[in-house]
Amino acid sequence: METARYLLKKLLSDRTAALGAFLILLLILAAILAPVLATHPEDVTEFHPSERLQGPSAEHFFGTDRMGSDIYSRILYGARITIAIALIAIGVSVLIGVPIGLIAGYYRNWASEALMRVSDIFLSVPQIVLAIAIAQTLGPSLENVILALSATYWPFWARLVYAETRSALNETYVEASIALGARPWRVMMLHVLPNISSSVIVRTTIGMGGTILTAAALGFLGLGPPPPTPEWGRMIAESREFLPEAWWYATAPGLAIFLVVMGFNLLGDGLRDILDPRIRRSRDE
Amino acid sequence: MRAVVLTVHRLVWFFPTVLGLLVIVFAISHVIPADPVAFMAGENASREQIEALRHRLGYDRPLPVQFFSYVVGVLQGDLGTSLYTQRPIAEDLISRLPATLELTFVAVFLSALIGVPLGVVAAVYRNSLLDHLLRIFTVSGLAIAAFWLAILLQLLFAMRLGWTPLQGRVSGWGPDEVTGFFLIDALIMGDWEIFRDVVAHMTLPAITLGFPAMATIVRFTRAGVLNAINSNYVLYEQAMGFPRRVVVWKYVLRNALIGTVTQIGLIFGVLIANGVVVEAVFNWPGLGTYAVNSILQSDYNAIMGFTLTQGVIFIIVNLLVDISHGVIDPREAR
Amino acid sequence: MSEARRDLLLDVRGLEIGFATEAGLARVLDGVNFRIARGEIAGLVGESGCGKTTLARAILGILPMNAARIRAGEIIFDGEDLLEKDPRTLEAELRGRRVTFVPQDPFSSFNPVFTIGAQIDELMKWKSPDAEPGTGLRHYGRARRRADRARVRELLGTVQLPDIDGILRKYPHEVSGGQRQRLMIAMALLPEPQLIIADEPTTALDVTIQAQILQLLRRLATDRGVSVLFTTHDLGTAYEICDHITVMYAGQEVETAPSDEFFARPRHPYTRSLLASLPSRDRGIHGIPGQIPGLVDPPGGCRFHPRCKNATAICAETRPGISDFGTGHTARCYHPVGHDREAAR
Repeated sequence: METARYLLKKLLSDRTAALGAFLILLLILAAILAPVLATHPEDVTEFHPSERLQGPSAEHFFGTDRMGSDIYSRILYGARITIAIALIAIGVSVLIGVPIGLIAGYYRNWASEALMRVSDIFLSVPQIVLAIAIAQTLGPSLENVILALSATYWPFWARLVYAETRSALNETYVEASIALGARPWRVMMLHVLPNISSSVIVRTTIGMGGTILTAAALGFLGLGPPPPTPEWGRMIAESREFLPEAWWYATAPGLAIFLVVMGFNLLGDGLRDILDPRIRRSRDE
Repeated sequence: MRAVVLTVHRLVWFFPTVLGLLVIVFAISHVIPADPVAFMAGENASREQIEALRHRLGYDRPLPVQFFSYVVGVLQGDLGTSLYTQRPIAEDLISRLPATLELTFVAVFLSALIGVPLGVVAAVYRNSLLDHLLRIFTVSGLAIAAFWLAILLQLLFAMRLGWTPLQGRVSGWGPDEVTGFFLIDALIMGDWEIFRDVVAHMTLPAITLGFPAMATIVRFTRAGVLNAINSNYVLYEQAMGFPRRVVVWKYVLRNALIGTVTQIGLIFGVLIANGVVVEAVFNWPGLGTYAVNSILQSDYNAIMGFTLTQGVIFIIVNLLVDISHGVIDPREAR
Repeated sequence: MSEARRDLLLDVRGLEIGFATEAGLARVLDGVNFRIARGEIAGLVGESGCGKTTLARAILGILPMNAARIRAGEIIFDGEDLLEKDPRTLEAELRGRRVTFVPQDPFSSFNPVFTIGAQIDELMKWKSPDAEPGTGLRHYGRARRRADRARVRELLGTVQLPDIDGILRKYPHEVSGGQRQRLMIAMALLPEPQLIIADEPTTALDVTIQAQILQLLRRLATDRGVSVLFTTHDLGTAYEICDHITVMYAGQEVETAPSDEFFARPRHPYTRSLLASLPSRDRGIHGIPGQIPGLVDPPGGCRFHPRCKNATAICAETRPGISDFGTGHTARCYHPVGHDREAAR
């Protein structure tokens, strides 16, 4: 608790990281309080064709879309989709990848070599390329997007944790503990994991941003949750045929994505500066 | 000598990696779907048509056999036939490759040309106004969705201002095809009209694609330069009165660039990933648009062919980067 | 009597330097006096953090100007106050020309991605005795290039480097530590300087090589009449090579004397403790109780007083003035050790 408070204080003193945290807070609030904050909550599922493609106004902050739905409200509900996709996708890939990397890094046998080779193969292709293939195969839906993202992200964590486990094992105090007969489980939990946790936390935060972008791209390509789900990427895709007149239609969801991803990036950078002082990075890398 | 050994080592790993990729693509296309043939036959196929297709394509054989013939097919350049264009997918992809490559190269070139000096300046004048502005730029550059940026630029410059064409690679016929790279071909032809037209069409896509690449380049160059500036050899050069501009632009830059070059693989991955959506927005006749059209048409084999192609290209690029890193960094040859 | 007779090349007077840190202003140099005569090898001895490196860098003019504040003092080199000069002039005319540098770690001081020959070439291009000082040197003429190459070969031979052509072609990591330091010494001599600043040049070397390098440096410097500012934390090293030794503690210089006099009759308590702490078979190992003080809020007066057995009230109030013991031997202490004593070697 002490350390948490100390970290929080340090984090907030870094202005850009604080900004990032603020943006993420907005995202979370938007998602949780969507029913309250939305001016037209019913527009997530209902259509009002008579009101279609109206510009921003007092009634519709960000205007209306092609179905006449209030874009502002749809964006708020879309925050839920965004968080769900990013959180679950990262969560699953971390839960799969980290243990694999940990065990593979500890027991350096043929099985771990094989696992790392498999990870390397996955990592040899840009994530979205494989994700497109998987999502296309499974069909456009929320679950399938999450699946596609998780399946292509776990190797990153496996590789990362593998490398960090190996270097943690080289630390003298770990060697000493093993020499004293500490059991593998104990070594991994007590010595290795705390060491690599800061790296994992930092990259998770930054990874949220990247995952949201990839998920939005999949949505843009039509591989995400189908309408009427208010997924931000899809909303931008829908807007294309109504440009340049309905400029708000493309701008608002894109702005939402931008702010959210920026928030995670800034926060991640700030966390890295705090949690990884050993790694002599220049202050703003 | 050791550099040669390393190079051979990396070359050798190329093949298993590609094979692994083939396994993955095969698994996605043949193993994951409940019925891959129904997939490929499309929504309107009847039960008999599906079964006939299944037998014709050999999908009733055991999986390992299928995989084997799949690999053999790929090695012979057969990636299947596109449902949509009815042409061999490999042909479609090859015909579109130059457009994507040209756009990618131009984007990388421009972002490096601008990004590297900016990174150096940001590091040398650390914490200055310029440095802070650049920081904002780099952070934003990596937070903007490429397809959104593409649409915004298109909206502003093409639709509203009319400064650039809306989409495509050329208006009308392009230059006579020699290399497939329109910039070069137009120069070969000596036709300035066409050249200008090609450049005009390439402007927005290249900027969109190059934006995150430039952000990354500025970031890494800045870090590399800062790292070098704080090093003992720079201290020595300073102590011995080497002119400052020589220290920065010759000695520091060389060290920093070595770090940046290794990031080209990373940058390239970003370019491939973003290329799909950027090409889609600007209707650029390359691999990305092909993928998007195939998605729309549910042209399943075409998408798999695209996945395989992009994967192999990326593997090759990383291989080249690895090898060149071993060459340009004398410490590697230790 | 003493100091006045020496023909001074370098005269640092009352140099006060502070560093801006998160914790406040660290008073790294507290009104330091330091002198080097022409042709003299002057040792600057002290533990880590005593300010010797800061002093060396201040003379060169390479302190990080955003953090360092020069608050008072003068650095008179060959008659001119360096602190008054334009930084660009210092870069072009002083550094690498009249004052050169031998670093502590010869490995990381070479640029790792350029060959040794290329780096020496660059040095000669700008700093060869034939080169015109100042910026704007565009044309590195062939005649001069040839003369410079000959110079390089000759000097590399003098520092006893084998296979000169081979070494010039190699990268820094391909050459041994001792060879790298010989190269550094050669590079320090190539511009025909008046002063070489050697910042702990043997600390990073194997013990067996250290003596060779020290002897080499001493011989070459004395042969050419080049002064050397030699910083070290190791008194034994200072004994090997220095004509004159100055001891620093926590940003203050406390004693200075010609080498023999220094070891025979040390006056300042800190100096004596340092000498006593050299391991010896009869005496065993003695440390100095206490710790080096922080420099943001250092002890007042003589900064050694908290650890000094002889300290009295006045030692904490004002810094001791300079007491002269003759033959160039001075110390800053209210209670210098009076009688002669055999100092341990």
